[in-house]
Amino acid sequence: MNIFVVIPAYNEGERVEFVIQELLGVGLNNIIVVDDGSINSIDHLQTKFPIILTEHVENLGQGAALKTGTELAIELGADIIAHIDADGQHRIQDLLKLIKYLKENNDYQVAIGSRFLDNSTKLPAKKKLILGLAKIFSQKLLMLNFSDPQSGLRVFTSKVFPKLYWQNDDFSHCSEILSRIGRNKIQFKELPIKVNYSDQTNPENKSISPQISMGWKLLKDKILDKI
Amino acid sequence: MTIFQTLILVAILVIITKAIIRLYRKEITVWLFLLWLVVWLGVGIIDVFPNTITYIALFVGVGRGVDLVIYIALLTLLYVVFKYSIRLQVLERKISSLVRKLAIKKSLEKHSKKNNI
Repeated sequence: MNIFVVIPAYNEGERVEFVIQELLGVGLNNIIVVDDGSINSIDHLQTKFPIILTEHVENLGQGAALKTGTELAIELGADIIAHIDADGQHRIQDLLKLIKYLKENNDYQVAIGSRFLDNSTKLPAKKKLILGLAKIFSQKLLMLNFSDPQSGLRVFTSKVFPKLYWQNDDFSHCSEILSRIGRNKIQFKELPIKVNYSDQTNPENKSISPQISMGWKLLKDKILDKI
Repeated sequence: MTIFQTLILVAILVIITKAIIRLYRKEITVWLFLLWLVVWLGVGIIDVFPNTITYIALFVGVGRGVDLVIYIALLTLLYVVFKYSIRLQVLERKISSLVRKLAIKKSLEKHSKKNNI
């Protein structure tokens, strides 16, 4: 089975190199890095590692980068596609767990990592509050019954991609994919994962306002029945 | 004529002159120019003969002429904004699709080249 890992990268720098090294270390050799119009070119990654680098000439957003990477993977003959963040917040063993689950359970088309199925992730208080509110928001208002609506670690089969085909270019693709799973009645499995919130990915440094505007956008899309 | 009316008349003349220059330079189409001309000539007529708008307003059933102008202006602007927001969305989708297709095409070309060597 051909497994492809897609990493969307926007101004990531060194952190993405660690992720690539780790993936190669566990034998995941089909890696597609999507440079989403980064300010500084990351062409050097291509000479350093045996990866496929594809580049957006303009910054479009994470959703668009993942779509490009996934389409490219399928063109190159992928059977299973994995999405992982470039900042190293996801652990490789969790990714392997998701891949293994899909391989062993042929009825399932999608496996999603969830930070909330057990309490293994130590989240900073502020992050916990935001994610908690996001959860209530998406479960009660958007009617999405998933334990972690903003999870970026997911694995799915190439067969199911046409049904997942998300339209949102920005971060709201996370919720959009989940709502498509629900609407198309796709067999999915949520598995518990842990997330590293190291200094480099410290969410305390990020401001709250993107999350609020994202929530507003999701609600608007819901009213307009886009997701 | 009051100073206010004169100022508006001068402004209208400037706007129409600019439109003529733009038409001459082929920056705008003839139809857009005609539409622009009609709109500003209309404003000019109302400016010089303010009573005309009151007659029209009474005719269609709106109390004051000024109110009628505001209603029409608001509705027109709303329509234009709506139309442009849709256009913008379509344009964004097209750019996104263009950038993504370009990226995939380039990568596939590079990939097949690598495999041939």
